[in-house]
Amino acid sequence: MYRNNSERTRPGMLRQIVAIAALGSLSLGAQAAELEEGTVISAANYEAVKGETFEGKTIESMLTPFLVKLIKENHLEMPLRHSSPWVQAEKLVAATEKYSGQVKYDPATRQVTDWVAGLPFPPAVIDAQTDPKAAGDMIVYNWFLSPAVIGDDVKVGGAGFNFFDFQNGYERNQGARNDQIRMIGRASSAEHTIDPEVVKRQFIVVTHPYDVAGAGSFSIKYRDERVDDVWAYVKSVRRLRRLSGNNWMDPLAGSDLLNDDNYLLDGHPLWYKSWELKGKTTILAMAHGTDDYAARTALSIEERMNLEKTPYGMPIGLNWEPREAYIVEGIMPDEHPYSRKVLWAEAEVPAVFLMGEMYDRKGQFWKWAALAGATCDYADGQTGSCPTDYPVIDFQKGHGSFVTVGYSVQNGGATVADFQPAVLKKAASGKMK
Amino acid sequence: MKRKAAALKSVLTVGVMAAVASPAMAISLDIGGEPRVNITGYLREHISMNLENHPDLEDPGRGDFSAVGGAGELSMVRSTVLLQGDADLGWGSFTAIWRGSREYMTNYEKGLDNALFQTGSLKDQYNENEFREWYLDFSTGRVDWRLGKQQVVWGETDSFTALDVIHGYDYSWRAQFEAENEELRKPLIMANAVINFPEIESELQLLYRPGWDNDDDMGLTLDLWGGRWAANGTKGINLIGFPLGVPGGYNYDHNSGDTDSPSYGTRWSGMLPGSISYTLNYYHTLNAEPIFNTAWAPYGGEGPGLAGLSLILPEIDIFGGSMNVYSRALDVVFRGELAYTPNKPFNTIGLGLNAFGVPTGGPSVIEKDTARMMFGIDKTNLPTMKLLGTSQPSFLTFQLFDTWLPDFKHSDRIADVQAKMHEHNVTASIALGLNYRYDTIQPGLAAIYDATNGGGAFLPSVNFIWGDHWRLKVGATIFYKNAQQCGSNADCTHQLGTFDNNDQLDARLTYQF
Repeated sequence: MYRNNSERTRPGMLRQIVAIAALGSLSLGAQAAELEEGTVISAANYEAVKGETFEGKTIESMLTPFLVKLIKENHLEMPLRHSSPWVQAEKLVAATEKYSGQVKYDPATRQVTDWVAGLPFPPAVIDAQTDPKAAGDMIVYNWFLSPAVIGDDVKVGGAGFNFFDFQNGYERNQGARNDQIRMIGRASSAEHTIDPEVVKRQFIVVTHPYDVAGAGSFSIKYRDERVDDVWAYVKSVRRLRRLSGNNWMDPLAGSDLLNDDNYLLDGHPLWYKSWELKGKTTILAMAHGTDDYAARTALSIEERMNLEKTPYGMPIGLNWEPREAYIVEGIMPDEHPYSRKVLWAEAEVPAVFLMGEMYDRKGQFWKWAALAGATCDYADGQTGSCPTDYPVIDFQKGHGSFVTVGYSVQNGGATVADFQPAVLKKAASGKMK
Repeated sequence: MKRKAAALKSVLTVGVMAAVASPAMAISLDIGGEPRVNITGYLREHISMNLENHPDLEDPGRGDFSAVGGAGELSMVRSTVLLQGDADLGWGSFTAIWRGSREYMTNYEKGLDNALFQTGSLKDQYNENEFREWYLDFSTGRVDWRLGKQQVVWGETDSFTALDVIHGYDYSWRAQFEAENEELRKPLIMANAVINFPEIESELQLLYRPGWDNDDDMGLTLDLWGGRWAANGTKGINLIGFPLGVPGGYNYDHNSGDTDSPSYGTRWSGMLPGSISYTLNYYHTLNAEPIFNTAWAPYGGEGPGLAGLSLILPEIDIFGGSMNVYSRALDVVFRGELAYTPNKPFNTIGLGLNAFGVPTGGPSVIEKDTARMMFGIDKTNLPTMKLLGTSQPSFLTFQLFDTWLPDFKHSDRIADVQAKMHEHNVTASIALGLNYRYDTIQPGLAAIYDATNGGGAFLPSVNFIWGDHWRLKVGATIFYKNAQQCGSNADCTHQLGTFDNNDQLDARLTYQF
């Protein structure tokens, strides 16, 4: 590029050099390859492809350090899928449009008022919020009041908790069913509110193995901050027991999940010290882990998670796509086992969490969880999104609980009559429809 | 021929497959299409060993009991198979539970079996083969129906019975110490209808037992034949067998206690403000505890006839209620229960059994209004994760149980087994359940204390969970008596005192599917 040494120092030449250098860097960027859909990111090729792009963003930039660790050390493989819109039930969309404008958030009390149905805080409202703590609360309230994978009622079951160890593999299965009826914010129903004091009534019932089949809990979760009312059915003595509702910080059914890890978050927003929006990012997530809901949910556990090479446990056969996400950090109360929980909330519909990382009281990384979803048909004819897989990994213990869904029926027309404590006895004998 | 074969083939087409997403759990059968039948159940081996000798069995005056043995000897070797079938009929479902048990007679039991005053065969008492439950479930409008042989449990009480009056228990093979009391409860053929009122969070249950059960499905089955759980002083003695026992045996057709007569009752369940769950209960049935009926004081005017002595289950009515509430302020659950039986029949101490099990004494049955009451406190999330390293908070429960005879008179000499009853007969119990290693190791400890008479029991145990199928439970039942109690003399045994010197170690291995 230089004619001879005597021309190097001329200012005009310097400007040319700068211009050429700039052109050069642009061309370098254009030379980073855009990966094709279907490319599988794995330990074998991560170093080679981390600088490549997918939908214009480098692979590296769309992964957290722990996702990279999972790829390199835990056999996580990520088949890439082009992103597509998060599908919401049309009545949920309509309710958001109709009612979100009137919703009020009070930063002093952290309370939300004048909400009826739909997302209380659509993305535009969150983006316009200048206080990151208020924005964090708004996202969590979206999930608490109008979760995007639940509908007005849902029955999730057919599979359950699959416990495994990184080195020893599959341990045991606890089949479970998790039914909910939303008591407020029923966007798809003519009557949006059944009981203004209650957010939801919920069953979690173990369906097998034999010795615990039928054991289950029924809870009423309140709109205000009081802890739940909880009943349990103890099958071996054939009767209902009343339990403490102050169990949201406790392990769920002997698993790696706490009660408030169900769907990544299952507590009242104000039980947590604070929520804060840390930023917005694009991350690879399993928003549409599958494009065939029926086929995925029919798979056995061996077909859904790596049980072939140690360390075991990563999900297999699920697609990962770039998703814009809000990063929300929750600070737990002092008595909680976690010090904080970091959640990635889907930005198109900030009422579902794609991934979470949990930290212990010393601030050390402890657990990772990710929700795989899919577009699915709701029972009332709408199309929305449903969960398929939910791995929860405890890295400190090298153990995991891989929650698999066999079926998920949204808006099946459940009534409050179906959600009474005594119905647990029906569930005990598998008679809950 | 071909058509028959084809028809048979279609009827018998059986595809056995594991349930979706869970390896080899239940067995699911397609019987030519609908309905699908789910088979679950278990294979179980249960062994127990005596930890103590029985001084009464070593009394030379008893005859050849020196051969019976005691400490260090196996007291039970029991093999059990249970099969449960659930069929989804679409409009309803059908469930059937079959259980078969066979015991190997240990040297200790052979000794009891061959004892001087033993008649009949212990093995016949312990072996079983029956459809325990079979019932149809369906709903019509707001009514849920369950018809058939089933278990219906009322009340809030653990281990004892106040409102849990619908069924008797089989206390023969493990006394009352099998934690899963669904295995001990004796199912009955009933019509069970629950009318739901979700609008007011309430339900009304109606129960009717037509009286089609086997006679011995009613009442408590006690070890009255001198087996391993026979009361102190009566081991090796068949109390209801010839020649020394109750000659009439059980009389199930007494005019005041006929097992063929219907039992019936109702329970209203509701919720009060403050999320207080409550029930109001009424039931008409037969007394669970068998009562001696004598020729010289025939109950209800009907004596035992030529036999001179028989056991009957008199009719009673029970009125009561229960409640539970969660206190957010204290983070505990309170529960309570009251079962009132007017004119409940008791034997008086005048009628007793001497050391040879021979009835002695005068007037035999007295009726007393009786109230059985329970008050309990549960801490269902005891914070033991840091203190004891458990994998989750633990379950701690405390319970006070009182059988109160408001119109009690000492002079009535009401019998409590073979000693005297009191106006208040109070028992306290406490139980702690822990979990380790993702709930795969579950130690537990229960303790019962007879506050009225002294003495009680400790029941430590550990349950091991191995994968989807294997379960091992090891435990002990340790009885202790009030130091002031009169030795092991049968004349002063109360409820738990009947098991003095009966300490047991036990292990139970289960393969479930």
